[in-house]
Amino acid sequence: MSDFWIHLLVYLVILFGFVIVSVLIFIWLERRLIGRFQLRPGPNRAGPFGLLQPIADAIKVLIKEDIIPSEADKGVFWLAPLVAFVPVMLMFAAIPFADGVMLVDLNIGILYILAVSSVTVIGIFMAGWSSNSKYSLLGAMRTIAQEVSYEIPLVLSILGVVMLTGSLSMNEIVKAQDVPFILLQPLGFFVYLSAAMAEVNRTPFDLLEAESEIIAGFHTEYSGMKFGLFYLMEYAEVLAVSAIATTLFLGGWQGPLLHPVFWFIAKVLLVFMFIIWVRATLPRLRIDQVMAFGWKFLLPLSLANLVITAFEILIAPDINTAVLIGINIAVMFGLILLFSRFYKLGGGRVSIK
Amino acid sequence: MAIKTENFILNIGPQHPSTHGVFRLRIVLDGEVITDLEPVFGYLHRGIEKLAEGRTYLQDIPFTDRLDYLGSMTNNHAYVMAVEKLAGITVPERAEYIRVILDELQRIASHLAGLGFFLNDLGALQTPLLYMFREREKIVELFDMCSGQRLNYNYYRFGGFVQDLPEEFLPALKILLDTLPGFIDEYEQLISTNEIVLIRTKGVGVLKRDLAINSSAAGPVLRASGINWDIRRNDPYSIYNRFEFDIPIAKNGDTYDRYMIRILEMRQSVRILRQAVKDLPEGEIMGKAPKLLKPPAGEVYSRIEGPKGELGFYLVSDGTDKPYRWRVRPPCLLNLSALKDMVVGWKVADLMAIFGSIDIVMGEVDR
Amino acid sequence: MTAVLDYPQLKAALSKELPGIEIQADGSFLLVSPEDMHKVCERLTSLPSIQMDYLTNLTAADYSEYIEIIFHLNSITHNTSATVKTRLTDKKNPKMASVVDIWRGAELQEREIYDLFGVFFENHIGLKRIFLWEGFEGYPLRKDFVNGH
Repeated sequence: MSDFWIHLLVYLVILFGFVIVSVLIFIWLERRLIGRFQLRPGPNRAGPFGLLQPIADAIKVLIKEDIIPSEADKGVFWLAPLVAFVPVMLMFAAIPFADGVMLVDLNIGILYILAVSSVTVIGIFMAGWSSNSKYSLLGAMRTIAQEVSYEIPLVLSILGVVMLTGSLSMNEIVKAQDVPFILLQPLGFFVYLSAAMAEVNRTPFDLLEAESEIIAGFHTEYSGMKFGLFYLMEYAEVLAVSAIATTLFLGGWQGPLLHPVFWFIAKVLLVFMFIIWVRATLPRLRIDQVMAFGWKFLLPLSLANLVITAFEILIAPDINTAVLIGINIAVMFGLILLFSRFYKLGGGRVSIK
Repeated sequence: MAIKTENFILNIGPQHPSTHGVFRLRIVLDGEVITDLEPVFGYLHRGIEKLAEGRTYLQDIPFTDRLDYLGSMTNNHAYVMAVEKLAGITVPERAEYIRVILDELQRIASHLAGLGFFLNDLGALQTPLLYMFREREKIVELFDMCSGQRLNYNYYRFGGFVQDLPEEFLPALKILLDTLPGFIDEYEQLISTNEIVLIRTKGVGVLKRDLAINSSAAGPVLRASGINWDIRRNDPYSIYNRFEFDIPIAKNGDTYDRYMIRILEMRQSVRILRQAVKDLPEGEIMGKAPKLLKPPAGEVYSRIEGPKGELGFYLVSDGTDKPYRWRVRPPCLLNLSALKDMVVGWKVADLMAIFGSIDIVMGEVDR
Repeated sequence: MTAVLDYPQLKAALSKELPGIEIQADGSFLLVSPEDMHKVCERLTSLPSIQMDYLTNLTAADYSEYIEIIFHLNSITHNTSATVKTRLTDKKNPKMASVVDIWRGAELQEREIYDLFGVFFENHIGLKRIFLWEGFEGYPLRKDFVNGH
């Protein structure tokens, strides 16, 4: 019994440390990379190569004055950052860093992660509503629409992987990947990454905090440590999404020669750098275009992916892997090109009487 | 059963990251759709027209810098030309060529800034902005060589210029002219074929032809709606009738057209610059102008094609050394006359795109 | 080149259309009385040989006996220009008919003239101060408004 408590304590500390340190490194990495994309060096004053910049940001956020709008709903205002941040931390409990090295090896691992990640939506909405500010309210309304609609393609894209593995446990999924699932499920990877970027509000779907339109969306009125928690939550969520993508599609901690934890971190960094690249390059979509993209494009694609995977498993379970990969990639391109012809992205002008 | 909804009044306040200055818009929203729009001006009103009446004509030149502060050279030119017409001062050849060179460089710099901020409003987090500012920086350095300033140049004088161009100017300008077309092609390729930019700007915020003429729009906004009207071609001033250049016209009048016209205009400016640099004569740069200018009594309305549109000056002189009436015809303010018709029915995100594509600078709207 | 219209010819054409109005066409502008201004503007846009469809500039100037309202007009179809003026002699309560229904571009410029000179435009679609705040006393661009320095 005391084994259980020691194991729990050790992993809690490791996970907390890992998340906080990774988030700091990610913040630094993002600012330097976006700087280089924009032909400028990025932060390079605080410490060598700007490595102390995130620490400077953290200290700044901690010592700022905590302002609460006078008409805000104080209880909800105070709780919202917690409700948004805690589920993100809970997600890390079921992600394997090496074979069996995780807080708890749930046999419903991925289901638990998806369920817990949906709770952050409530936190964001609480923040937007309780601020009693019209900009925050606009951001909160957009949040509900976007995040709830993108849950469905997210879950469906993962089901393909679950069918190939036969189990919901994250560790089993990694062990079942002799060939990384990105090759066997390219369409699933594409849908998962798009839906996950929409869930964590990264460009091109970052209209929830669109700086050029609604100033800062749901966290306009937040300052001090509460804002720091939202900031932390955003990066921790991106870290979690990258970690899940690595586990499900890129083969998790598997890799030759080096220690598994090293491979895991390298793959997470790869996915994260891709997400930064997309952020630095693409402009933002409008809310009705985002909804159309999720419902009319990603949802049918993920359903088609599910049906095709089911066919492959039932009809041709012993087919040569290379042929299967070729078929899957061809099917992905074919479906994407076909679907993109057939739908209109967003409404036009609404006539006002 | 109908759902009861309520309209929602939002204040896109004077302090906002995308209002290009201090500008306030009160919009009435039904969900995300804008049903009504009311612009509120005056946050940058400094009373320039009244102040100018208390200073001599020469002392008013710095006021013109601060109108459209991203296009100082063209503002100076418009004012200086108006006073020269009033007082009958002629400008020597070399000065006219230098004026054309500086005007066209200013047009390119202003369009780069306008387009960069427009793409910023669309959400491309400053990446295109910084790329365009890389070129604008080279142009601003050229201006720094001539006038010593990076933003409000105050370089033109009645009859020409006080100081000639420094020797480093022309070689640096030639290097810039060789590299600039490549960069303009790069912008066009990177941005104009981007799916997201296309779906956010094509068909959005259409300004119809008749409304454009009726609401006194000018410059790229007017030409994007299909009207062939450019002061450099229709009412030539300075020596523009010696240069060969095209006037880009678009057909639809939507946001994408207003964006595209500015890219095409930059290319035409490079063409004019090449011709001007080739033909630049030697000679004096200052005509005969008295030290204390007292133009004869009378009035004049003279205009140029600035980067934002038709910039005109209406001056009334009563024979003294201070103007009696000093009026600026502000292209940015008049381009905003039809804002309500362009925006109603679209969503909040489109408001920023449409507003950014009109490309205003608050210094000129409020004066 | 934008050709400036020949003012005596213009006066003749307008007097034929609207008999009984007073126009003066000596010099470089057309001078119309304030009551007839709206009708003259309507004819200037509708007569096919003139067609002044583009209002370039609408402004005012304060002279000692009157406030002068100046219209600079352009015709995009014919590439011509014309200057039309009117003089309001009642400086306590200057007013004239608004031309917003003819040229939409006059809306903001008439608000500016109201704000800075105090001229009231009848039938405007929303005449209120544009640059100065509500409750400001006085009209700054008039010559009798002296502000400290």
